[in-house]
Amino acid sequence: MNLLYVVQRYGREVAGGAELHCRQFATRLAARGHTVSVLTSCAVDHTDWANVYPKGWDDLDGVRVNRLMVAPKDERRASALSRRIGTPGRSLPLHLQRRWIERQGPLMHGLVPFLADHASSYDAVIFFTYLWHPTWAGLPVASAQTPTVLHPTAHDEPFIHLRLYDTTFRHPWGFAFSTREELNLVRRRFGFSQPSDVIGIGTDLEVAGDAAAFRTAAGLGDRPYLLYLGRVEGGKGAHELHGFFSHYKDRNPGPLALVVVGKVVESLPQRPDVVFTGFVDEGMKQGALAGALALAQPSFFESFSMVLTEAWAQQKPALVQGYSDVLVGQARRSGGGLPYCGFAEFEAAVDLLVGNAPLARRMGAAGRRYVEENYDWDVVLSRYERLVEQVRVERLTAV
Amino acid sequence: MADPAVSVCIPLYNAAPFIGTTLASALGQTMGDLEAVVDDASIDGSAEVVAAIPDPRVRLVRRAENQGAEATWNEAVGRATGRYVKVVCHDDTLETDCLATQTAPLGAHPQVALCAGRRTIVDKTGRPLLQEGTHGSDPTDQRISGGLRPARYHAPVVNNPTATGKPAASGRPDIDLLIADLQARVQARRRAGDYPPGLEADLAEHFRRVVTHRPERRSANVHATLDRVNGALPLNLGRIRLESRLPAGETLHRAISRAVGRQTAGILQQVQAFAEPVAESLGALAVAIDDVARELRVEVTHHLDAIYERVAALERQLTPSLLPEQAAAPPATRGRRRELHLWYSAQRFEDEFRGGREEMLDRYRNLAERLVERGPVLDFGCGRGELLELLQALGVESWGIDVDPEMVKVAREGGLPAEHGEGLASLRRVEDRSLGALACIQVVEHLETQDVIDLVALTADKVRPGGAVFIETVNPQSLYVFARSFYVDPSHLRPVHPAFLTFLFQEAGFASVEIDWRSPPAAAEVLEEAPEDTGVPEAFNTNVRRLNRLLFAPQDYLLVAVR
Repeated sequence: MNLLYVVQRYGREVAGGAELHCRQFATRLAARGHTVSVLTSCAVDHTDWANVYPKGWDDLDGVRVNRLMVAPKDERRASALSRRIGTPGRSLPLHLQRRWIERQGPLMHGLVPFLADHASSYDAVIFFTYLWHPTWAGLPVASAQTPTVLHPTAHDEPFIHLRLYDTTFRHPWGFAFSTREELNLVRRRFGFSQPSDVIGIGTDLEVAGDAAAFRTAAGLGDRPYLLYLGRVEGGKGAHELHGFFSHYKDRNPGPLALVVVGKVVESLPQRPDVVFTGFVDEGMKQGALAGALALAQPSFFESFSMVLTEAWAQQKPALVQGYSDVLVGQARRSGGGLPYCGFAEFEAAVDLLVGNAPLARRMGAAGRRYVEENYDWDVVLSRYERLVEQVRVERLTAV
Repeated sequence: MADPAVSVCIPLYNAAPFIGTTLASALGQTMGDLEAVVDDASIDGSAEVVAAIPDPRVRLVRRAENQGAEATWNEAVGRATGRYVKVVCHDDTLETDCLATQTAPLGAHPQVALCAGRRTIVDKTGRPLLQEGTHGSDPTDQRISGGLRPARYHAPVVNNPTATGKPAASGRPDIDLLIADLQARVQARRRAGDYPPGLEADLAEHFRRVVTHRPERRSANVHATLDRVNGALPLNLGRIRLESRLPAGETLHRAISRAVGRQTAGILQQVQAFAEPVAESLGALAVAIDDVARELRVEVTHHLDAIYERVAALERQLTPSLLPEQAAAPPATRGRRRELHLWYSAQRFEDEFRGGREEMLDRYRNLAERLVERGPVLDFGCGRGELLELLQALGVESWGIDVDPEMVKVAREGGLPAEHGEGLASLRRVEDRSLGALACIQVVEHLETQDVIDLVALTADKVRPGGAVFIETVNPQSLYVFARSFYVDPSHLRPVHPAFLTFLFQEAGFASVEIDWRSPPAAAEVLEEAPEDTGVPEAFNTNVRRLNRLLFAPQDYLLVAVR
């Protein structure tokens, strides 16, 4: 098939779950013999949309990438509206919602004309993330001409309740979801009848992290540790985890440590039993997982959580945020994660995992089995190809 | 000790006369691979009876104070390490092959999670009173469980969620059971005053800060009520007291006990049969209230948004009339082309200066093709209907509106769907978001500036998302236009600058705005550059090009705005 992906950012230097998700699909589909192109912006960072990559066509891992210039972000004016959207009980008139999404950007120069002129030459155009301007502006244009698939990568956040997106979710010819919870959320919020499937994201099963190397590098000795993997931000739950862990250790002294691996965006108080490694490379990350007692995934907003499946691939159990439907769903289905809501349950959950090693092992093994059955790349991509084919048939019969 | 196959969990409270027999029946099973976990805060010496039993398979857990049946049950089960769990009441006895019989199907069928059996109700001396059916109708079980708890609190043998080692059944830990276990631990600690005041609330503050958009679960009250109802329902009719001071002897006792037993069992079954659906309905109601609240909130937000938008639209319409200078303008010129009283035929004028029909068809063929698949298309200011004719020929759903009845008549005579309408007022009557595209060809230069501003806002309402607006008008950046053509048409008011029009569409929320330059002046009209080899300085040609850009820029532009 000849596929075009539309995504706000694309490249090795780009950090971000949905963007990485998109790049993995594009690269792996290209490796399976499909012709894959990507329409994206020159930006690397979503906070300013500064044009970093050169514009025009480029090749990356067998994928043709067309980067468009993007208008600078008006952060001050965008965040004023974002704040209002995030305030409970306030709603925003539609014309201000439109203004908000334009200020959010990225306003990619020539996006709509490109899609208007070329979308029909692809077998399908696939959009990643409902949130940003390219999907909002591009999806209607592309859907008028060719089969389209939207990966909403949605979670229950304030923005998805904007009326602005009512039309966005009517346009695609099909949906690819990361989890069943995401599907339920979109169905509850928008209702839809287009073909859809829960695709998820593949996970590399052939990993062997070097725990010893990581322990040495992080100066951990043989202390048992819980692992937090990801950017250190409020919405990711890092602050809550840090607070819970601090109180846990104050109440239950012992060797247990918390290791925080990832870029610190919002800093946390220093403690002797909390180790910050900063951003590490893939090998070290796998080493960190291999040596961990369990992964802690405290994020409030998740539409999939790749770190969770990565931990399971290494047979590690997980403590997960009980207020995230997605994390609880994944934990329930796999048997590999223990959800907690609030400090008391966190404490009890840590006690259970620390005090019952055989249970922790069984949970890790169950997680691994779940990933093998559902998130092996081959399984995921076959499911994906079936969906795209189904969407194409849907459009053929509709037109 | 290696993990046993079965954990026999015995929640114990004040059962000194019975616990010895109970434990003996557990330890005397034909299946020896077991442990007995006993939990206690008794005051009648029950614990001492247990402590005196010298079997290493017995684990006694003593509590400082009584915490209620539920917590004791949960703790006893929570301490189980066996592959299977069997809960036994402190005054029950097991048949010697009970565990072997009940674990056999669990081992043979990994998909089976629970195995129940029949039982006999006995009096305190062990005499049989009532042979009961399977566990589902067993009043003793229901009494203990409160009737509404998950099955793991009942007496059958179940797979142990926290068991160690290789599990017999699916091997996948049941997370729901683990969550229930966590919550039981938390409750026990909370009762024990293990959390200092404010600790949990302080730590929950962060969650409230981050996750603010979610509606509060007001149905928590309903769930609390449900719990109270559950608590109120335990069918603790209990054992039938058979002590009697009547001297009628044992035969009478037995007769009465049988009769009462039968009656009681029937009543218990009926009460149970009633209580379960009631509790289920309450549960369903609680869930339904949650759902309705969530959906209502979304719906109300939608209505509010619709109202906001309507208000904004009304504001846009009202503002002009509220401004004094606008209000002073004669209403006849509002929203329509400049009105002239002509003694000549407008049709003749068009033929003379704007080009004949064939010429117009050629000029707009390309535009019409761009409108294919964009139906329905409204040609606003359709004139004689050349564009409409092209659209109809291409099968595009389309119609036209024009302010000039004479033009409309010509168009209708050509079989085209044109209507007479009074400027913007006629556009307002078009249903919101109904248009795939709106074409407005050589119109805006005839409009008052206020009408141009209003027109853009109106198109934002009328065109559906993804739809487009095509506006062609004269290009004021070409001075040639003013010298040659603009003032030929007496109904032209003033040209509209492409930068201003682009700004208007962007502010109205259109996703993209593009400009195409059209009708460059004929090559013969443009200043010529000197050939390269004539020795004329380069600056000369640079100046020629500059002048050409200023004087001879394309005469028209087509603005395409996609919503």
